[in-house]
Amino acid sequence: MNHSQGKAYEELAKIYNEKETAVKRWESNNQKIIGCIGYDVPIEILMAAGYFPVQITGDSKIKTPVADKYLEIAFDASVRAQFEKIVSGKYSYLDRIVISNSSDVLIRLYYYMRQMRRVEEELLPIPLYFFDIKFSQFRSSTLYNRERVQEFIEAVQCWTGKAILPDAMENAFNVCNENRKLLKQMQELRIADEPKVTGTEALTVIGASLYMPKEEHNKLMKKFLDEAQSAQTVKGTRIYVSGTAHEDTGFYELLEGCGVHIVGEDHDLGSRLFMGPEVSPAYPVESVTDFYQTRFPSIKKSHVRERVAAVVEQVKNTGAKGAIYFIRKSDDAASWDYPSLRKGLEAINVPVLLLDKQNYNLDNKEELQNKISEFITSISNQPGRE
Amino acid sequence: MSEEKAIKPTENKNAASVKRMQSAADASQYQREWFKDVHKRVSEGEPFDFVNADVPMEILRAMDIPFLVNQWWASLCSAKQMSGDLFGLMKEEGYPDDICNYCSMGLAAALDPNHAEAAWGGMPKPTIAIARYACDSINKLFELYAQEYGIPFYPIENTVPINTPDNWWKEVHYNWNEFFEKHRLDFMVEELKGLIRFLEQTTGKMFSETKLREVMDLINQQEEYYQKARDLIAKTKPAPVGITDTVPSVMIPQWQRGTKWAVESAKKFYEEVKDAVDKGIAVCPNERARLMWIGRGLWFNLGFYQYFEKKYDAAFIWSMYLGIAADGYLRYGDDPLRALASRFCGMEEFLHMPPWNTDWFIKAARENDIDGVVYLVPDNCTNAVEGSYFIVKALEDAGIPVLMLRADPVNAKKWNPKTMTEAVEDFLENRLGIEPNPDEEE
Ligand code: SF4
Repeated sequence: MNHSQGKAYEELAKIYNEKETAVKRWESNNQKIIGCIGYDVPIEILMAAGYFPVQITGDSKIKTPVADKYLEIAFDASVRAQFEKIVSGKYSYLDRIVISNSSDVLIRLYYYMRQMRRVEEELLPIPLYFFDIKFSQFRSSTLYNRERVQEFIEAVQCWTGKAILPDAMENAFNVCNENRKLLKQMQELRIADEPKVTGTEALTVIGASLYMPKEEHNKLMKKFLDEAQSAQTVKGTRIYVSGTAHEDTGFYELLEGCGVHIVGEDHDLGSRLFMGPEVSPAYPVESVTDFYQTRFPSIKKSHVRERVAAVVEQVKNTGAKGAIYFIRKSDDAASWDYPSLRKGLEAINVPVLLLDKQNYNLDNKEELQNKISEFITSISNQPGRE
Repeated sequence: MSEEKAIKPTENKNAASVKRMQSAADASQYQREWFKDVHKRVSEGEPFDFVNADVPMEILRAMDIPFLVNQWWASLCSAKQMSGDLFGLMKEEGYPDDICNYCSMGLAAALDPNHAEAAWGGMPKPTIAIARYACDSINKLFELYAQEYGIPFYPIENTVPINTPDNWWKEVHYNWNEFFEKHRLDFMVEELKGLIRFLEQTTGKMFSETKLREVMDLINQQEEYYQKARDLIAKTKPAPVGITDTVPSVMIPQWQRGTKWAVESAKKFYEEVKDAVDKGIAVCPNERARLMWIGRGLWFNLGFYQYFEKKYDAAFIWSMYLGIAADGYLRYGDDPLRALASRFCGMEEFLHMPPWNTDWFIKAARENDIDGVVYLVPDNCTNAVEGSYFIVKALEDAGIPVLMLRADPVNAKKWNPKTMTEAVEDFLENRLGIEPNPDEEE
């Protein structure tokens, strides 16, 4: 699909494509950089303490000899790639790594990295911190999470040797709220009757926010939203993408090449990143807890019923004609949701194409293209917006 | 370093193991009778819970609510060679049939339309399903299971330990309150209180603190016998019993822990071991290798282990089942609910997390004078991974050779007895230098 955006998008795309290399642009800010593994690290708190949080993501194009040696075959390929990048020095500029309890494999990764630091520290000199957040929708878990958030604030203050001042907290929270609001506005342009933003563009814009200071991202987002108003209308069959997170635009481009307009997704590197309540600096611990615990259900940690309800609602909002459920190999938890999700979506006349056990490097593009094209043809007569 | 063999699935002909201990035979018999009784109680309208293995079932025991453990059910279905059919049903419903086989057998059975023909008359209709958020899949599996039966699912939270104190096996029996992080224990206690109230409300049975204390005391008595048996096996050469004896003798009573029967069973087991020691009975009278098995047991093929006893005088004498019974369960103290919480705060780490498991394996290997370790690495379970690199490194650095195997211990389809046997033979002959017995050579 040929679709173009303005200069702000080009800038965001550059950062998105460079990822951890782009981070170095802000080295002159003299901010210490914290690497986040998992998408549930409360970045607001790190920002309030003066840190620059960046996301550690995988790379499907790299070889993973060290991960092959230290990690298990059962570990998701993206996690293996993240580990490889860390131990090969790609993130040597990090002051510390914070891992959130976002999936079972990340808990194991933390254990393994911790043990590595015990027995072979030279391979992993960066200190680790584990943020043990709970995702169950219970008050008892909220209380546990609040304690963990408070503990996190204290740990961060300890790292910097300074208390986080209320002004700094307020500023960081406002920046994060604004960032999520701007991304929500982008999402509106994506699902409008005359959409102005493609799925690939959305993925890029959202992803770029993970490798640059949020203030800078906000500035570019405002320009981007302005420029996008005058972009061409996106054409294509409206499809919702569910399942494993996509760390690059490969799969989205493949879909768009088959005449698809991706109107939304439920993964961590897409809409889930910004869906959720505002955080309030008046109640920092409580509102950070609420945001990370109660936002859009996590694929790994939610109950089937919670996730199905949330996805069905999203699919309705986006006006998708069909859904594609993409599951990467070893992303086991997502597989259990599929039969219920399919039933839930079929009940609102949204057919689902399952693409499971997919390789990390999408080395079967032709096969995927055929399946997707066939699916798109099969639903072309469905009622719904184009 | 260790050798590693990939096991490819092929046709599977699995030998059954020979039962040698009366305590094991008695346990099987008891379990049958118990299961019949469960059927009867359920048919009379009593509540019946389906629980995952890591659920503090002591609560149910104290409330006299019959329950069935997911993993026991999986081992029974595997032993009855039913797993292939059950996973076929999963596939028909759109579920994966090649992941989480160990834990999804309950869901598979719930989908089974010919339920009455299932193992031991099938699973009675449960009234509640309980699991812990121990991995990303198990809560979903239990939720789906509960949905199939139209019953409530009660999930219990799980926490991640940050501290890594040494020598846990010396600390947790008495010093557990200081040993585990306070916030983890506090939270687990809250979770247990929630479960108790939920069970009281839904079953109409009131929880008794006194009964829980009695249950905890009975469990301590039971596990003390396992400690004594474990110590006897460790120091006796040739070993009086192997894991094909100890696993069946220990596992069922462990599912039944907190009962007087389980204490009697553990006592009988210990006495049998002692009797074997006193009479000089041995698994391999000419014992030439003492082996340790790390990983889940081969439920559908316990005879696998016995093959090496005969052919190489190599006895598998240590597995985590007796090991963890002896070291992981004992809890002394005045607050039974908090003591129970501490039992479940640690179990995951002890078994699956370096450095806790690596230190423990080395300690066990030394106590048992182990010559070599066969380590079954689970291929498709992120929860059961143990840090294979660190385990192998720790053991090899301690001078103990390790053979790593990859297979699914539950799914018979994914098991190739020939390749697996050859891998162990190769290990015995070429790493440990043990020649086969002349009369056993093919
Ligand atoms: S990941 Fe492992 S522990 Fe979790 S459900 Fe699957 S097999 Fe069971």
